[in-house]
Amino acid sequence: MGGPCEFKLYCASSQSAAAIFDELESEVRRLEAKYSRYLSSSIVSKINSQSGSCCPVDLDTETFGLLQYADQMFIQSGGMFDASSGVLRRVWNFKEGRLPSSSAIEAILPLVNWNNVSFTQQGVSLKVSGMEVDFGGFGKEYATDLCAVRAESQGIKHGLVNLGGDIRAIGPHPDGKPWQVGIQHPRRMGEPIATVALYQGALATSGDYERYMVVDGVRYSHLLNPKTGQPLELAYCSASVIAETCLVAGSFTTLTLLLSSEDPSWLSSSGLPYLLIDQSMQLSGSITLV
Amino acid sequence: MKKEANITLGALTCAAMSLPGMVVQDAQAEAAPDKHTASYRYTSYAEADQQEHALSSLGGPIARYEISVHQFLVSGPLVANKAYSIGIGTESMSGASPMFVQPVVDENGDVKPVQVMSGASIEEQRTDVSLGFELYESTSKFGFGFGVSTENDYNSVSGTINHTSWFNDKNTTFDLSTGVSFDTIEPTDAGVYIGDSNELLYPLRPLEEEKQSLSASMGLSHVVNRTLLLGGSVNYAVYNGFMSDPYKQAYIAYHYDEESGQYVEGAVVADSRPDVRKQAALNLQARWFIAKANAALHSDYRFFSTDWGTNSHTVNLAWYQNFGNFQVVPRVRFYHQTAANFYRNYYLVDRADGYYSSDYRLSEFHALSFRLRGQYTFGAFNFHASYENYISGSNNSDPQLGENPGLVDFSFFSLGADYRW
Repeated sequence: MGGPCEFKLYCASSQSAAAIFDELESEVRRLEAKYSRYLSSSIVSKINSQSGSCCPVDLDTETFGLLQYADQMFIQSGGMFDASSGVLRRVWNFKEGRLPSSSAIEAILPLVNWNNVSFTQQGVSLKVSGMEVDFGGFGKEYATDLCAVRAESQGIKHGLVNLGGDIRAIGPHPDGKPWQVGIQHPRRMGEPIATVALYQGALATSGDYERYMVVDGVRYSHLLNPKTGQPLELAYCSASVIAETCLVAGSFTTLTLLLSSEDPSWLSSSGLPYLLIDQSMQLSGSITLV
Repeated sequence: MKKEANITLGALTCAAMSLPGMVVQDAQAEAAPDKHTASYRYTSYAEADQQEHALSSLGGPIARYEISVHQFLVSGPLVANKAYSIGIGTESMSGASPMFVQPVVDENGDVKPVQVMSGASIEEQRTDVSLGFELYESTSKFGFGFGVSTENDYNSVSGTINHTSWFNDKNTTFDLSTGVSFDTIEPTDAGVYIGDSNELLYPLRPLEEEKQSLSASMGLSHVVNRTLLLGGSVNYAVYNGFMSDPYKQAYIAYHYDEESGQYVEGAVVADSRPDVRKQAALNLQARWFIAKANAALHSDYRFFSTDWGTNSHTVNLAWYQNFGNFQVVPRVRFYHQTAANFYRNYYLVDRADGYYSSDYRLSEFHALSFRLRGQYTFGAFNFHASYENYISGSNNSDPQLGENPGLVDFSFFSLGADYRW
């Protein structure tokens, strides 16, 4: 899940707690095995390995639903969120700290186009050989929601699911007090810049600090424009959103950063509580801070 | 081109919710309650006065039963998926009840049945206590209940066991239940002599009798879609023992008196019914939720049949209208039943089987009732009030099998409050 994961659940007994924790852990492992692009046995790897082939890969209901979700993200963002843009990693290596050549970017851009992903309930095919899709843009948020829903379906009324910073509260503490959730300081790792009181619902945060590189004094974010293959100049270095589900909260944080250079105020009309941190570390938004 | 953020919110929420596993399964349906509830309800039930034109010249009070009921119920969670309920109720009854029906010839020379009421107004107190226990598993619920009811002439002990299981992603519910009851009857003033004489005050009343019942039911309900629930159930019960009404009698125009060996004109005998009754019922229900109106229509049909010959049909329609924290429920119910095989308003001659009853509850009749219920939820409190008006009658004009002159109309109102913590 790319980060520390924790479940904090108030249970009637230690036996029922152990059973629920086991169930949640196996749910996370199931999702990782099914959708990890690093595992050759995953359905994502299977879809990608069949790119350019005429034969669609069979889909189950869950994967079809995730493709539909990715489709909505593409439509709603005007193409700025593209679940086929993962191939840009081949030229943008943030660990090495080296800028790719323009020709390398030009060469790989034909592989980035969600319109070339064709899917129905029966199957999915990637029309161009070498294309890849992945659900990394919202998979962790989806897993957070599934764990919270499962715990709640088991009768848990008070708890918190945290998968690598994607958080969903199942009601407040039993005494009615909210969960105190820290928002990462974008420039001081491990330090919170603010604390949010979360009673119910989900809180997600995206930031330019997750992966980046500094070359010749210029900071390059991991958030790439799928149309140009170039890093985006973000108006904000962090966006946090509270929504009913972590999937929606996380999608809004991602879309906010992706759209921020063009429309910094886009998020405000959603009506969702949010917290934005600009490049000068100024906080703005509608989330009430502790 | 990107969409407005509020449009994006709707689209992404919709796409998210259509993913499997994103909606909490109805935890309430299978989880033990997480809060305690204390409830109180007061009900006042009043039968309309006996119609004077249908009252015998033998007279008797015309004021029928009035009943006041106080009910207390506490329920809530116990440790580890268990729940309890404790109920206590008291009833105060007063008034007169129909005793028997006799034929009279009216001014047109027609025979018509008229009611003879019990000679004195009755005062009764009843108290009942019930205990319930439920054990919740992941897809099922097991419960049992125990109840005791006592009044000066009637005691009852009952027990129930029930099991509910959920299938098909909890969209289908299957219920099984069974129950037993043991009742003893010691009629008031039975065996009491008049003054110092050897004559019994009520010679037809038995000193002590018993009856038992055994019942079973099976039900299935299914959530067809988000707005429709359909269900059905069957019930079967066997009653065994004394099922006559010790306070009621029957009139026989020409009765053979075994002691004297003579026919007696106009004799009154004890209400006497078979000592076994088997009954079965079929219930069908549909619940429609009408989202546009924020309301639900509940429709129910019940067919009930006994081997005494009383078959009945009940149709029930209720509209549950929500207005924020308010709910208003108008309900209409229609009921029709046929008479028991041995029932007559009065008897011309003795019956070979020895069964006699002119109890209006065993006659052919129909009834229509209207009820209005309102409730208001305020924080942890829920307040509710109901009013119901019930009218009954019969289209049958036969003097012996037609409308019983004791058929009753009644109204009741109820006030209650619940508190959850």
